[in-house]
Amino acid sequence: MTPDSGLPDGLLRRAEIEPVSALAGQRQALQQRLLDGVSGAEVMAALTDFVDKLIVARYKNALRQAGEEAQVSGSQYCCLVALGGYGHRELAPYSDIDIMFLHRKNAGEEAQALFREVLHHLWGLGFQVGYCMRTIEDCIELAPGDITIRTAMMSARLLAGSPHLFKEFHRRYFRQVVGRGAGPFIDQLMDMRRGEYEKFGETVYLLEPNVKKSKGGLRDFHLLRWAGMTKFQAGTLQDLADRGFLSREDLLSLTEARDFLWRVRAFLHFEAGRAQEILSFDEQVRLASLHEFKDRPHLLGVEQFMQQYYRHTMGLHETMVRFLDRCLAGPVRSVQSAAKVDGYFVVTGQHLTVPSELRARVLDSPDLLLRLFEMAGSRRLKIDTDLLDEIHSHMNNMSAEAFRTPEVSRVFLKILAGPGAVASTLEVMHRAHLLEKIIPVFARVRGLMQFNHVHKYTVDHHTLLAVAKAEALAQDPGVIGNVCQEIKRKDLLHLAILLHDMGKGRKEDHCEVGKAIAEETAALLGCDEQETRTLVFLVHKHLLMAQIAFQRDPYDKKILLPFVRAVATPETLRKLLVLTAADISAVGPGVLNKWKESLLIELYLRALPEVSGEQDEPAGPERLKQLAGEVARECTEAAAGGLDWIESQLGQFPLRYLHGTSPKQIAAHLRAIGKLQAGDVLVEEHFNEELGVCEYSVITRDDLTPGIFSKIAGVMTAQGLQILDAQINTRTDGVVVDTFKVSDPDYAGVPPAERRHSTAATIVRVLKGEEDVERLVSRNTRLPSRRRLPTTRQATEVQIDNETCDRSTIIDVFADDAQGLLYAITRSILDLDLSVHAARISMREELDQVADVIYVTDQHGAKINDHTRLEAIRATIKKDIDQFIDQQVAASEGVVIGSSK
Amino acid sequence: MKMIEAIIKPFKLEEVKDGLMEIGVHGMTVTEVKGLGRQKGSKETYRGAEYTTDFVPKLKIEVLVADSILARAIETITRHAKTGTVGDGKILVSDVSSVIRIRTGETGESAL
Repeated sequence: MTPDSGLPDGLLRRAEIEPVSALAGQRQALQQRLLDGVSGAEVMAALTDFVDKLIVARYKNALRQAGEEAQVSGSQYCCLVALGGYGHRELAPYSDIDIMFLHRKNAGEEAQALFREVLHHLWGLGFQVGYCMRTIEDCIELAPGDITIRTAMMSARLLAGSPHLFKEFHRRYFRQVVGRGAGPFIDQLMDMRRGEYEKFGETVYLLEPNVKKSKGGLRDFHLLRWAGMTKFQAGTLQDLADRGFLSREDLLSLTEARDFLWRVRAFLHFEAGRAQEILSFDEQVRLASLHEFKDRPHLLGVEQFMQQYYRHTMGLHETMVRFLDRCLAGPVRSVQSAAKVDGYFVVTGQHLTVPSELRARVLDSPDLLLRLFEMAGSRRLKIDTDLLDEIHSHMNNMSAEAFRTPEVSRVFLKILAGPGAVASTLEVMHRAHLLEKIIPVFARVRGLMQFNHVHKYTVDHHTLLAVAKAEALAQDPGVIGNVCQEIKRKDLLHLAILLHDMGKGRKEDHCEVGKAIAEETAALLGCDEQETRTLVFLVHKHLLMAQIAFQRDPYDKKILLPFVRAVATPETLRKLLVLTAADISAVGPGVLNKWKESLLIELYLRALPEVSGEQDEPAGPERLKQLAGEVARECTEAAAGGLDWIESQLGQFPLRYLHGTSPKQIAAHLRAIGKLQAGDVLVEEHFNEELGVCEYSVITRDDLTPGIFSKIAGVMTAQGLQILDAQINTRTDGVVVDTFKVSDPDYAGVPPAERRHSTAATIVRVLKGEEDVERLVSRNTRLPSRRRLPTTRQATEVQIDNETCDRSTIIDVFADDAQGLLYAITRSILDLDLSVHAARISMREELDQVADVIYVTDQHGAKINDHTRLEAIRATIKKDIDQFIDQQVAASEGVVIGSSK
Repeated sequence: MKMIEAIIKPFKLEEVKDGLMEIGVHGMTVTEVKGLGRQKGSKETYRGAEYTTDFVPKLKIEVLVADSILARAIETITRHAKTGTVGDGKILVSDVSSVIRIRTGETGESAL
């Protein structure tokens, strides 16, 4: 088993005379051999031999010069033992040297002097030495309580001294310590390793990994070896494989990974001149070029090198985890006796598997495979590792086309929606190479590193981690956690997070590439128009919110409004907030701090009322009582019904009405409601000095006539009034209270009372059916030139939001403002047989844009759920608006041409 | 030599930095801070609960300058950090008795 040290004789002889320079020479020679291509194992073995010889020579020398008593003791009652990596002959160029001086109780003081001699020599050579002096009894007593001592002594190797003593130690140690309690020992190992993962990186995909201690590092290999020694008394990988505890493929991939890491580690040590275990960016570049990885377009040599590194470390880590699982599993339980779930799956404790006779069928069926993962996710079960292996190797034979079934898409979205372990299920699917069958781009970003100093993880890991962060954010007690819980389509959120960085690693802007990928994925999964729009937006604009929150002033309307316009709906805003926060926090530990969070929240809270068209404040009982009091003070007549009456009336209004309406105006409305008879229409109007606008409130019942809102808007248009703001409220008892803020371009300042009265009277006549609104509008069509259309036209946007509200479908409209636009929109809605329940119309004077949020249902008061119909609604409204604006533009141009002649 | 500490709105950092670079100030320290001034915390209503940000997120930049360019540095920061609304921040100036560059041991203005 001792490989040839490869040392020239001259060098060895020199070692005795000038050990320091001999060691330096030896290291230099080994470095050259490493560059020439020998394996890391050979380098370590050669160094181990060299150090062995130094130690043995020094020990024998000391023995010769010692007194007789010490000579006897030194050869019969004591021995020098190599421990740890050194014991395994795996001494990296600058590793510590662990040695133990094993002695019998009667060895005497002189013997210890021999040991000191060796120690001082090693120190003199500049080695870091870990040493101890123990009797066999000490070893057996200490080992069970300390995992480091226990594992170090498992690789004990005799260097010099009494072979009998060492044999006895070895026999007793393996019988009394190693052979006992494999289960608890492996648990302990995993605990220790978890501690290390916390410290050195929870993921294999660290951008600057520690080759020994990060996840997937050499320590994972050690773990596997210790577990194998304990459980199966097998000291080497070959031994484990020969006895059938390790598959041939695992043996091969483990050996490859281990040799690769050994080599990398040797390079790191040599370059640093010390036990450097961190594979820094600089070293990555150097090693990539040493291993002749060439830069390719869009993929640097160093990125290819690191992809190989991650492939090895990921493989090593997974094999280790599976092996340890197998060690802990105990005797195989009879699968047949456990209950089958869903016809194919068997759940035992926390484990999920498929009985062997059904495996072939499950492996060949994408639908069943998806169901397997869905069950694992939703019930938080662990899929049997052998089964995962089989899935992994089976994936090579399966085409992605086989995964294009509606059932696969449906179940995949279910996995994404949760609840359950969403991120960890996705991760297992990714490891099994199944995720890339559904989302092909995942194959490309596997282990793709991002060669910059901001990110800590590779693209695929960053992405999966971001999903995990989004799940974790839902538990956050603050605003973001709340927002997270309000999101209705978690599947779309998680899918967007999964895709947000998939455009990385290409020459083009990753947001643009991502947009195309999102479109493809949506098509593959059979998403409808609305879902596609949301997904594409979130992926395409995943940086938008962070950019604005961190680099722009959210109090500047010119910044806020375009953002609001882009986001359009509260549900999208919520998703974007959570995506942004999850994305940032998945960049690395501590990157998302409270400071950044508060900037994001600030922007969110600024934008929310703008996108939702309402102040979202639930009125508790106290607030209602307080408001009732305020209203009562404003109107003595209403107070006749008593505070209770006022309160019960207020309770029927939507919250945003209570929030956005002054007590004085509420009092006026209640007065009118008190007087309202069946078939009546009452109009309240007054001039608001402060805003310089007329306010009209129309109070009636919703069964009076269809299209109340549209008809009022028509009257306003016919009168040449400009609607700045409108609020449509339909109470649960059918009372309609619509308020309009309008400006009157015909009058500067307060319009005369007759003018206001005539508007009010027209509204009453139209709503009562005494006058036709369409005729009125066409008769009174004014020259459109009085309001100049914006010089640069913005595309009209109509969005359907079917997620925010349970009872209604919400239509969001952003369009250039034009005289009569609201009437055009509402008439279009009326023509579509929709009924408006609530609306919030606002003019954005800064932008010459209107933003309308309209809550509609079908004629029976039901929310519209048919996707084809929703899309038709969206398209029709958009078409009608564009047509209307085009007419206005044409007309106004006509006027300009006319006047210039 | 003077130490300028400026508390500014976070989104103004790039502008202020570029402005300072232009007048030859090449070093600065930036810290994410939260503070309370005349701007107070903003009070927003969120899901019925009043969400108060007692402390407003700001950035603190620290710049060490020679006396000769102090006035220009202050003018630059003021000009670039200004939005004209409440909460634009403050600039504090204090004397610095000595500066030592750790790498070389240089002292005084040559260490700036």
